[in-house]
Amino acid sequence: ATLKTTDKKAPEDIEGSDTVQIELPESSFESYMLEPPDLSYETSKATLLQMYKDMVIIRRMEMACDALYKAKKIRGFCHLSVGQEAIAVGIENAITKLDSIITSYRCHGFTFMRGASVKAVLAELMGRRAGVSYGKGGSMHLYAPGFYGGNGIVGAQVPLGAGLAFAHQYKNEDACSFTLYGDGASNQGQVFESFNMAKLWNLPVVFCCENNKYGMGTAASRSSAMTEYFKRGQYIPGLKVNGMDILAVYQASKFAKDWCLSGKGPLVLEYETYRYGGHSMSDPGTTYRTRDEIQHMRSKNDPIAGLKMHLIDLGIATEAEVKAYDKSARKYVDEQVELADAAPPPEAKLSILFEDVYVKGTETPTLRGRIPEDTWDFKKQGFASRD
Amino acid sequence: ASYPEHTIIGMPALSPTMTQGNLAAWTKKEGDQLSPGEVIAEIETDKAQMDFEFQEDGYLAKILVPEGTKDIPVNKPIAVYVEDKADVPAFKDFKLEDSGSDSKTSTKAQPAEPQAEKKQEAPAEETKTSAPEAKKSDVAAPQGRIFASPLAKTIALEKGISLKDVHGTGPRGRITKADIESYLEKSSKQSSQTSGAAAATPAAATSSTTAGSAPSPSSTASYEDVPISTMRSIIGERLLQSTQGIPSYIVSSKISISKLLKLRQSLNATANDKYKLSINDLLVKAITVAAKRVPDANAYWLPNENVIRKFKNVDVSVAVATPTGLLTPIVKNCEAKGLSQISNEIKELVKRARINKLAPEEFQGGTICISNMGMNNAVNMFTSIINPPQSTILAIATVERVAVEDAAAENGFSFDNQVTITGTFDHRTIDGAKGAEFMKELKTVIENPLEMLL
Repeated sequence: ATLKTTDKKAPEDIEGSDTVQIELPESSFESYMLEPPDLSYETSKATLLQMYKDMVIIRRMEMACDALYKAKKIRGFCHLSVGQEAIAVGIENAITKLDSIITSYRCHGFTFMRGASVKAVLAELMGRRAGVSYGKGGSMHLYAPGFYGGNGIVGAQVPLGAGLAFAHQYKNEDACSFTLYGDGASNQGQVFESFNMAKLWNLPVVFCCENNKYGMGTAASRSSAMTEYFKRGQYIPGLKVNGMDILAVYQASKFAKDWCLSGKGPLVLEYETYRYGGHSMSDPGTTYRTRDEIQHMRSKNDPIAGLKMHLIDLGIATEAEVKAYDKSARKYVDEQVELADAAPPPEAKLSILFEDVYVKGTETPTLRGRIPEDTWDFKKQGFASRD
Repeated sequence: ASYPEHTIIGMPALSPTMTQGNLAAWTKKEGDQLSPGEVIAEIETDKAQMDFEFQEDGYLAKILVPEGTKDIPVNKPIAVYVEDKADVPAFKDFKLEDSGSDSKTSTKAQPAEPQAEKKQEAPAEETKTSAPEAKKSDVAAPQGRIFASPLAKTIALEKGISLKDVHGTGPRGRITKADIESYLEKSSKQSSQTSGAAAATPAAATSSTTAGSAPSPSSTASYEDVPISTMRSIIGERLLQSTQGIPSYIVSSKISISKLLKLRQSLNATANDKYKLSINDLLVKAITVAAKRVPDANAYWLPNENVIRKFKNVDVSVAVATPTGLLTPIVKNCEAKGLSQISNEIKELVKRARINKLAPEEFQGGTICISNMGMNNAVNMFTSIINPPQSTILAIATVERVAVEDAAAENGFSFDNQVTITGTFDHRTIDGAKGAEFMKELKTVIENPLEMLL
């Protein structure tokens, strides 16, 4: 996390006026039972620049994952978000550290945005002690302060996200919960149960459907009776957002946060996005859609290329400067890959299996393992019934 | 040699179980621009032919592995790319060795190397140099400890070489495998000239010449190396798994086939070219009838599901020798098919098997197997290897004309056509007595072929 903050440019570094006026296209939003957010808003140049840098780092990180996976250094589950970077970056810039985020297993970008270093994410994926979950979680189990995971079970994070919102409400905090799920998960029963409780108790939760058009290998229209996911809340107002435009994502996320904090209760957001890669590393991603379709999205709708154009048009950065950011992001991620790869795996000792079940200092005296004889004694730091 | 900034592309693992693969084709040429998501090569994994999608921007500078290369281990460098097009020509004669990097990683070759070295070094420091070697040599003991890689130590111990005599060329004079090998080469040359030179004992010298990875052929040897095809290696693996993993036993039976031959002749006489039954076709049907009578023979051993699956249908796998190797196309549901249908289907399957045009479902599966070498009159009897998870395979030898006792005949004997059929059974699914019972049923059916009508 320290590396990332030093990386951040202070606002005064940018010459001239600090703020710029953004005009979003008409097509950015589509609303359901609410007045859509303003299409024009003011934001700081520093924010835009930081968003660009963050998106590039996330993309480099995901590409590093791809390479490490193909080199067999990362094994098992691995779901990449290449193409969907605008959502993680846009949301994080619209909220504060008080707010909470929870998402599915496509979680590397969110973990980074919430404050974990690229090294800690990659080390986790490679099963190293330096990982965010000490090398014992892997791709689906990434956490950071205010970030409740990486959840392996499709849709199960949605009720948890409603719970997080309940906690914010209960503790009278000026904060809300951003609960993300995919278009595939949106058909889960527990999503609708969460909608119901959230509306019933007026919880400050933003249900965010990341609609990347395909639930695994099934097109949204083949799995969902209604593909307008922002209307799925029925009695909860909704907003569809162009998830490939970070400026729209940013504005909509800010709007959603304000909505929740002003006591209007839950909101359903649908970020319409696209993933360039397969569902996971074991899906080549080209059997249920054409290469042309992917290439079209990449060349016409890429969130990074889109913001780059804005940076240049608004005079925030020159082409050469942007290129330099790309280069430094690449260098930074490459260095982080090396650091992560050099990090050692967890020690092969038994106490490691029992740590992190409880917060340190709140452990029960003993914890049962696989069989009763494996009961661990925390005080003794050994098995209870063995010498 | 020094080259502009570049990155080595390693062989990707495109399936979780892939450890090596074949490079079927390059879809990009040297000098071509690469952009994320584009296919640069087609790679044959252990499962399928896959597109290798590249994820970076750049230019393909050098292809290190030509099309059609087989069994490239994952991470082995296959190409080089650069970010700047102007750098491409610099890689025209690029060799991996020149870049000062070995084949350890794909992402960034150079920075990875020192790490790999470090990893090897760590265990080396913990082990001691072995004592017997130190005694053998008369040379003054070197000062301090000798640094050598574990692999080098192992080889040295096997060959009886004293590490003191080997000159290390690794980092800080560390002895590596290559050093040991070059030492061996030298000492074997010397010992053949001046027997027992240097510190190598004669025994070590001889062992070094005989126990290499592949024995070096004599100067007169003439041979051809045929690469092991994917099919051959699968055949090898499966059959090894079968012979090592199945508690099998064999039951052999001499069966009179005269009546069956007569039946065949009379059926073929009225065929009007609609079919032409072979002995094999009739035997497939006979096996089907026997398998229905003794279902234990027509079963799978499925330990993962904790079941023995006894089939009600009989899908007979027919072993066919093809130019590329053994295939077993399947005649499905033989119990419900007539002889002419079985015959025509086998002909069709065999024809397509020989030109490698079978769909996977046409040769994967089957509940019982027949291997017929009757066309080769040298084969009196043979055994075959069970095709797991099946439990039974029947080996059909050639038809022999033998004299049998015949009280009614003038000389007290007559000639009979007999064939030796040998069944190999998996004892886990079918016990010996049952196997014997199956053979008896098979004998009954073949000797009374009209029972096939029942």
